[in-house]
Amino acid sequence: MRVFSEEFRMGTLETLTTAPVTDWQIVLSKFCGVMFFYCILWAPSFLSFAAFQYITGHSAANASGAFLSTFLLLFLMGLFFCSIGCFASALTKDQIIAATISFSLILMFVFLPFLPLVMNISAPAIREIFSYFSPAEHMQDFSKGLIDTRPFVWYLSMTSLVIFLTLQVLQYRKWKT
Amino acid sequence: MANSLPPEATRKVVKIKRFQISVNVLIQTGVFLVIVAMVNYMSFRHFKRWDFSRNRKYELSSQTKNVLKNMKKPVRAIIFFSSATEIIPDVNGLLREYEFASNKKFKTEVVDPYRNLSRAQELQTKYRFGTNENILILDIDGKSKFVNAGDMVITEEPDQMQVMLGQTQPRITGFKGEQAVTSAMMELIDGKPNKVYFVGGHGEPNLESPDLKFFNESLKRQNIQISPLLLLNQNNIPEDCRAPHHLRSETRFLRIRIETARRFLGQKRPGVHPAQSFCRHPAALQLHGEPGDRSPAGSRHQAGQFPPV
Repeated sequence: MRVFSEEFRMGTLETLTTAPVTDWQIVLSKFCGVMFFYCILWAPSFLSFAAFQYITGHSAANASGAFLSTFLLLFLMGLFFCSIGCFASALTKDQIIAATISFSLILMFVFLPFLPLVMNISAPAIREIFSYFSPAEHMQDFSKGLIDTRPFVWYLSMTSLVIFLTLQVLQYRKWKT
Repeated sequence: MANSLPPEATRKVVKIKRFQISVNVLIQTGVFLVIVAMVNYMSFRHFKRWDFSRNRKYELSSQTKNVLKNMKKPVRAIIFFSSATEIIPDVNGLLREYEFASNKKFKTEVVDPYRNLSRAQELQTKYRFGTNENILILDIDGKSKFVNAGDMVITEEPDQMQVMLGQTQPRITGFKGEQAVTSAMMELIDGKPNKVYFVGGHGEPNLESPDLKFFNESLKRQNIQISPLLLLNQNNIPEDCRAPHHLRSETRFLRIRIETARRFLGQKRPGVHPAQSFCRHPAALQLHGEPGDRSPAGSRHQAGQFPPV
């Protein structure tokens, strides 16, 4: 949340932009930093598997396909959601507002695919479209070890779109001041 | 240069410059959005799936893939299960794989009878089935076939110990949904309706009688046509017969009719299972050298107790 908003608040963005780096490089390096932190957050889950293995003497990750594909999807989802976080942070000086914007956007992307279920729409075509961007359905497949190309395209393309928008917002704010 | 201009002109130049930048950003964003939409559309239409689960348990069999690949007409599957049904996730997952393997020809609709009452009633009127049934409806071009939830699972009866512990319901030990759904689809795709003839002329009950109404309805919703068969008038069992049956005969079969049945048993017709259809028939017992039970009560083929066709 503080990725860009803190820079705006402290006025350090100007110092950053005087360095011999392009705006693209600033946005991408900030995003990579966020992703690194996100991956660190998931690291303790590996300890749970190790603890299980140590206590029971059985291999925890016996279904290695399902195990790896679950973490792969978590990484892909992380790319998209972290990019939303960066975008929200670039919009405002206040990190609380940035947090609110990013949580709202992420929740919208998570819960919007449940709309046909809530509205009792059973038409296969609508169900298919909503399931295309449903994180719950993606997780259902990947946690079983079923790898699909569609979530890859969805998350990577949306990440690049949101990063592009973040760059535009950053440039706008830079030139505005 | 700009500094030498009067302030009014400078403001105008800056305004024009800003407008140009805004238009440029808008065009860039628009182009990016279009590219993202196109990429996602392509990905939605053309995709690949890999099964990395243990023993590839979610992968469809080659036979199912062939059936789905060679389908000419679209199939509509309606999952009519209440949310309490234990096998819902398995059925949903299986039919999703059918959808992906069929190149958009297999469509699934999920209807929870307790949540979507209007749709449930619409389906019950259209396909004629009970309110408490958990069924999968397969519909190809108006022809339909039902697969019951019970046909998709392998169950185990509780042993004495489990009964003592209060478990009286059979326990589900396996899921055989793919087998049940693919065979039902194959029957529908086959095109020809299954025709079952009921042997008449020996005091059997009338097929249209109210006693057999439920039985007739059950056969019809399985896409099975029924027709009477009077062996007295013909020497052979009709070509389109998938299985001849009889219901509680009052009198003995004549030798000539037993001969007709014997010929039918000797023939090899595609999709006909004489062993299933005729084996409990008194005539079949006579054919196999056993004395046929002639009493009406002795016939084991009571209405509603037929083996699957």
